[in-house]
Amino acid sequence: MIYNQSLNICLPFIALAVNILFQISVFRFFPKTGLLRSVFFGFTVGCLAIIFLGFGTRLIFNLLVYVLLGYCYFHFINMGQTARRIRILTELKACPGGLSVQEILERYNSAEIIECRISRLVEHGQVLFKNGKYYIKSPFLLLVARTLIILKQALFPR
Amino acid sequence: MKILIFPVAIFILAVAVHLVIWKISFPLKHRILILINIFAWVLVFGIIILPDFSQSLEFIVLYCSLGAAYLLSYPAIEADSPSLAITYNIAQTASAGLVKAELNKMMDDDILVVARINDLLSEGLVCLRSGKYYLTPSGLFLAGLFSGFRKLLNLPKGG
Repeated sequence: MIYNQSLNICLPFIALAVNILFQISVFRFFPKTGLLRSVFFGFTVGCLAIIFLGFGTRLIFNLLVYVLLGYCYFHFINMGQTARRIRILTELKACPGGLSVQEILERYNSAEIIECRISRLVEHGQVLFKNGKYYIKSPFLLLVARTLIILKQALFPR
Repeated sequence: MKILIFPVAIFILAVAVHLVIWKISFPLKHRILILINIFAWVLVFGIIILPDFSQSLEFIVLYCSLGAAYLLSYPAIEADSPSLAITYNIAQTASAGLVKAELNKMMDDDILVVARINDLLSEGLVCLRSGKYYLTPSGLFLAGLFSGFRKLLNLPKGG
């Protein structure tokens, strides 16, 4: 009984390991797949692993835990890809002698951040570039931005 | 069903405790550490009042997964996402559109980079000595973790 319970509780973690291994393999060996698509493939394979390995035994519980762990893994990848704090930490790691604000800004600055983001927004069809100006193309990110503003007003002091 | 309801209810309690503490006295330093402490203490409370002790492992696993997802999402809410800020600023101009020079003026180094350096300082991930920033042991661990993983995936510098 205890053995079965312990094995069952491990299933989401086994599925997460399958997810990570599959995602890394797909992205390493088929880089043209793209990072986001490899994450999606890895997540799907992990879902299938949980369904086949633990069919019938607390499927909803295991799936819920797996989805949450998969979300954490996605966030981990996303942080490495887009988080400014992680990029600053990486720049500091490369310079054990330390960096002043000016030296950090020579390596990583607002111009680079805006250029990188705006290209991504145009590429993904969120923003339209026409006659030297940017316009909103899809309302999706705008909706997310407005929701976050409301959340921030509720959470943080002004 | 009980196996799902109790951990979710205790998680909601932890979120409520977080919101109340943030409203009463917003911490200026070590916010993530305080958040981890809130979730850990509410977990202990949950274990004490757990109706069926044989399900304690399930409770801990589900509660910790919910907590981890929340803790990872929190910095994204706290720090302004440049992509969302760009989208919002463009939307504010309606049909007039926005040129890149205006965006650069709205979002300068102080907002996008220096504010994040100050966050790292307040979270204890970097320290400032004689005008230079250095990684603390926890900052070094985090930087190593991310750069190691990105090397494994053959990815260039992020950000």
